[in-house]
Amino acid sequence: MRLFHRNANSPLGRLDVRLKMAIGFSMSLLVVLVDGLPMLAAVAAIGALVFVLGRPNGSQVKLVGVTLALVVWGLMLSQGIFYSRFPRHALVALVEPNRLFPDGLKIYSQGIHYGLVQSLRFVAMALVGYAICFSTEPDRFLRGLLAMRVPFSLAFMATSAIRFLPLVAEEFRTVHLAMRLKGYRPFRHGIRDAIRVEVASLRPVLAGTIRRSQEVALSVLTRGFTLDAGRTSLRDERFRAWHWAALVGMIGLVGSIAACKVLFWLYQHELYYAATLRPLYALVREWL
Amino acid sequence: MIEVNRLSLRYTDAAGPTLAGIDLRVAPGELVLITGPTGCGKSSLLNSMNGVLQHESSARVEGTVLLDGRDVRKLKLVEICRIAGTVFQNPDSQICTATPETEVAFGLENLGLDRPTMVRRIDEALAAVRLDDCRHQPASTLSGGQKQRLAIACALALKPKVLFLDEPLSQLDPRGVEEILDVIQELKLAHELTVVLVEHRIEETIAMADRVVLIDGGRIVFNATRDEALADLSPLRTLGLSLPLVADLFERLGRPERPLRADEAPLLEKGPPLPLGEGRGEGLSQRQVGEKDTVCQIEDLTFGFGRHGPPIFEDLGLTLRRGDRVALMGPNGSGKSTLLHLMAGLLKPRSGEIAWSNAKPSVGLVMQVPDLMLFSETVREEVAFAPIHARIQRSECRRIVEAVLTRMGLEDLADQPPFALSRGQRLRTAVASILSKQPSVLLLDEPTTGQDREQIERMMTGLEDQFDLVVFCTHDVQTAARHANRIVLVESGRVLADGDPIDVFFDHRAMQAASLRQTSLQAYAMRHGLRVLDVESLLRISSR
Repeated sequence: MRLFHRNANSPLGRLDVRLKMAIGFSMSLLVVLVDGLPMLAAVAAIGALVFVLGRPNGSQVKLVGVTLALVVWGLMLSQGIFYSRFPRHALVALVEPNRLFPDGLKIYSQGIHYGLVQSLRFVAMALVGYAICFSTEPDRFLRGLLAMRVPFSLAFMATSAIRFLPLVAEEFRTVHLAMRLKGYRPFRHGIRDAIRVEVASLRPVLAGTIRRSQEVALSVLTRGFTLDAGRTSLRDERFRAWHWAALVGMIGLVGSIAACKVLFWLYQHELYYAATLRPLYALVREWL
Repeated sequence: MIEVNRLSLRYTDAAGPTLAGIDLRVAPGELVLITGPTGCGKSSLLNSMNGVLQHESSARVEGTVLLDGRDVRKLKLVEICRIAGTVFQNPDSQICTATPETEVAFGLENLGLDRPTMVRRIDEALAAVRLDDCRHQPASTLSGGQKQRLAIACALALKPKVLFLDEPLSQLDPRGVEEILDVIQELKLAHELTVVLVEHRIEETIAMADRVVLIDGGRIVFNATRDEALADLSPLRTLGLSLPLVADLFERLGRPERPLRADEAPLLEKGPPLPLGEGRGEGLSQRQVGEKDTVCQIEDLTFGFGRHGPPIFEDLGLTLRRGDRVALMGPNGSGKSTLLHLMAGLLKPRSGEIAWSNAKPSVGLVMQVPDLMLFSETVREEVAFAPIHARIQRSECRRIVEAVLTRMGLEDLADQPPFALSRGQRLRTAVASILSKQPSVLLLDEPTTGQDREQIERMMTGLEDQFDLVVFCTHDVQTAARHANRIVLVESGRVLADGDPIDVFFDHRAMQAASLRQTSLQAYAMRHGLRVLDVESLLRISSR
């Protein structure tokens, strides 16, 4: 399935898995630290760049595009409608005040702005997460986790779960084909029937997953899989000099932004102030 | 090498024991074929011999298993895998890494071997199964036969003395089967391995076996050398298992010889020359002759996955007529299943068309993995799913469901959850769930996989008369010869041959191109200048 294809030869795919995880971790800190819309947009742009460096295929771009568009639209609309802070300015009145909605139902510009900020956080993080998934072979993911001293049993279970995702998705598709063959069309017999059948469709997939996990377990057990220590490795991930440089750079950037925010917070709460830091306070207020 | 003493096994919550009082000795270097009907306990015996059930299951295991003189209970699994390697049925779920190299390395890494030793052993193991050319190829792109050979390489790399093989052929096409049998034969000779092979496919495997063990109802009902097993085939026959065809013929002719291969069997006295088509298999073919109006016309069909994917079919043409019982045959990946999916309307062709004589044909498709067609809580609900969703009146729906349950022999299991049933029963439930849709055209995707001969016969015979058109994919020449009146060989999306089973199965060039092999009986008939598909026909001819 093209959706689960992993482009290990992309620029991102060639990176050490640990560095990719560091990128993901840095991004997760950045989206929490930064509040300003332009800066968040810049962080999302970095996320998009990382995503492009993973060279996703058309199906993957389509999936990510649709998912993110739905999330952004949903967040902006819901925040726009349910924004409760003040001041707020109504852009559109969806429902005039009535008994059910004494204040009416309106879309507030501040709410849309707030929804956009939240969704940019999500978009930036999701793009990097997708990029890492689409560019990392489960084997290299396993080696990366082992290099990070994650216990083998945990790392193996995690990567096995990733490895069999395409099979599970394929089985889910087959079950729905079988349902179509038996004349099922969603919602033709009402929503209750649709819910009942959709829940039932999980049954064979779940049974297949259990059966497969038993087969995998048998296969690895008969090849000496053990929780005991003393396991060796044919190949190790290689953390090159420039990987170190990139890692230090990322730590420096995220650490600096975190330090700026902390200093600004101390100033805001009148706990610490230094006149020499005024340009920094301005920078944080304006951009971060 | 292996000593099994009074072995009994009972799974938690099972109604009765799966194995009861098994005693078995396997000598070093011996190849033992363990066979029996589906669900008789063969795989459980194998997983008791390799210690997995004793160590990793809540099943109650009594008795002892000694591997190379050591009790498997007292050995850790990591120690057992140095003595015995195991290869399982499903090639896909045994592979847990990305490439053959890393897959073979997995077991060696578990043993904590150093890197140079690992590299040496990987080289040796991949060379032994002839996979050294694809060591860095993504494992997902390997064929079924290659995946099974890889699984054997993984076991071999650990330098075991015993190799356990649990139905390694069941999911392979004829090319894959041939590859695996060659490898097993070579390993036995070159590595002096003791091999325990659990398999339904007796025709293909008995020739390499030193000993044959039959299991039924969790007990060994027959344990003898291959020659003794061949001397009297009645135990195999009684259990409804597939028989080595030429040996079966000779036994039924009352001859003392038990040849397994066509070229080693003595020629019979030749009868009068036969008209073309004589010796056709029993069953459908004669009954259907005469009804020949077109049911389905496939014209210039072109199809590929995705907008730009390589074409699986290009300009395919096929005319399917009323009364046709078509066996669609060819290697894995030749497009058989895709064609069935196109016919069932699950896929849309890029160009060309599939035209049905009936504007709204009722087409039923039983998919390759019947378990994925079972999602209801009981067998009855499963069978009722299609009529309910076709908005058939409740009383009529009930009548259809009861009729289908009876026809498929599922009345007693109607209130059971489908997943609690045996493999054969699950397949029958999946078929029943399609039959209740009352299709006029039935499509079956590999209905024989993992089924023993008796079950295959029971199911296929039950489906012969009820449809305008039946199309089934299979690798099993014997089943196709018995239950089809037309064979279509496909390879790389092209029709290589299309015609009467007799014509197609004796067209060497087409058979070879489709990676199919005649059965030993067909090859033997050829030596007499006869074109005969089954033992009964040859017996009839020889009795003249």
